[in-house]
Amino acid sequence: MDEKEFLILIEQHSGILYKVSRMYMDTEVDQEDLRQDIVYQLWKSISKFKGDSQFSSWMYRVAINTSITYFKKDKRRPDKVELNIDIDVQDNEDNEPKENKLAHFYRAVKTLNKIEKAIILLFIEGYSHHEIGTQLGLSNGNTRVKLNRTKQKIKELIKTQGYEF
Amino acid sequence: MNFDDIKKEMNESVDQLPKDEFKIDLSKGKNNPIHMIRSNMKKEMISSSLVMLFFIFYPPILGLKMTAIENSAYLLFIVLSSVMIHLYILKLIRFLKKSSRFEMNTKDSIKDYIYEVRLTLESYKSYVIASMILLPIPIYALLSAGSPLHGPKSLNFEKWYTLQLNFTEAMLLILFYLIYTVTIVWITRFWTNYLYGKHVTELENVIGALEEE
Repeated sequence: MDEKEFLILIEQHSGILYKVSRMYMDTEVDQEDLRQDIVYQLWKSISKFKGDSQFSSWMYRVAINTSITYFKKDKRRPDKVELNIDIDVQDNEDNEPKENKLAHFYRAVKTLNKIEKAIILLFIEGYSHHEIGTQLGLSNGNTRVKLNRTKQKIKELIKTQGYEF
Repeated sequence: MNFDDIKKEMNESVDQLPKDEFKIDLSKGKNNPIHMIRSNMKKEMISSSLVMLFFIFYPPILGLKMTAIENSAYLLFIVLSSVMIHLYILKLIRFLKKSSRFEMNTKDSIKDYIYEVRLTLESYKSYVIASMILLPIPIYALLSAGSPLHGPKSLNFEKWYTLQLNFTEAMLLILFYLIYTVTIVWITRFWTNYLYGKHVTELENVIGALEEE
């Protein structure tokens, strides 16, 4: 596959890049940096994609692995933060309800660890327990336990922000 | 709110975003520790080449009058250090060209990655230590020849170099080399751990989180 074909394929699946970068990074600048890093890693790994799985599954795997190992030197911009309920809710009082809903979700996600972020993203994208386990290298039982725990955590976090789940 | 709502809104939100112009930027990977260490090694290879060249021509430039033994020891150890450093770095660069395997499952990929970062760091540390360990000898020869800062030939390099030393002097020499080596090892370890150790620990925690039931 040449560079042009590769970039067309990436454009077709660019939603994955935006979703993953939004889950793992807070600011738009960091998200864009991470997206370009993922594209670089995908290009380096593309020769190893043999078509055994769907391209989107393979792309998710590389994107998540790149995000987990992503090394942000700037300590002033942590990728996992403590939730500040008062400020967060007040900031979004005037926003549209829809935006508010997604904003609450992302605010809750910020407090998850890197594995929990991967699990919840794959779950939302419709992957089964087995597929999530295969992507992350977990047993089915362990995946089920972690997924239930993460879902519960998200729900509780969103509720503490004063939003019904 | 439920997870189906979130999926729907996530997709809508992505559709509305202004899109990046994706390109394969080979300067990327800059936030990857392995990439950073390799990049540092390449920079250090260039700078150490320049430093070695400078040191080879330093005595003639300053018109320093070195004795035969100072001159031969100086050139021998500078060239030896230089050859050693360059062969070492060239070998490491070839070895470290292997790219990380991000297409494996997350657990295997991170384990492989941690192994590679640790190996790279150990290689880097041994390169720094090996390149520093011989330097006191040519530096002492230079000082003994009488640099502008250190004046007359009072350091008597020949006596130290040929080990014509009494017991106290021999002990002092051994003690100096021990302290010097320990200091170099400590600084190198501290510096690499400060720069990259935290990241490795964080990834080990990720493996811990993956493995815990």
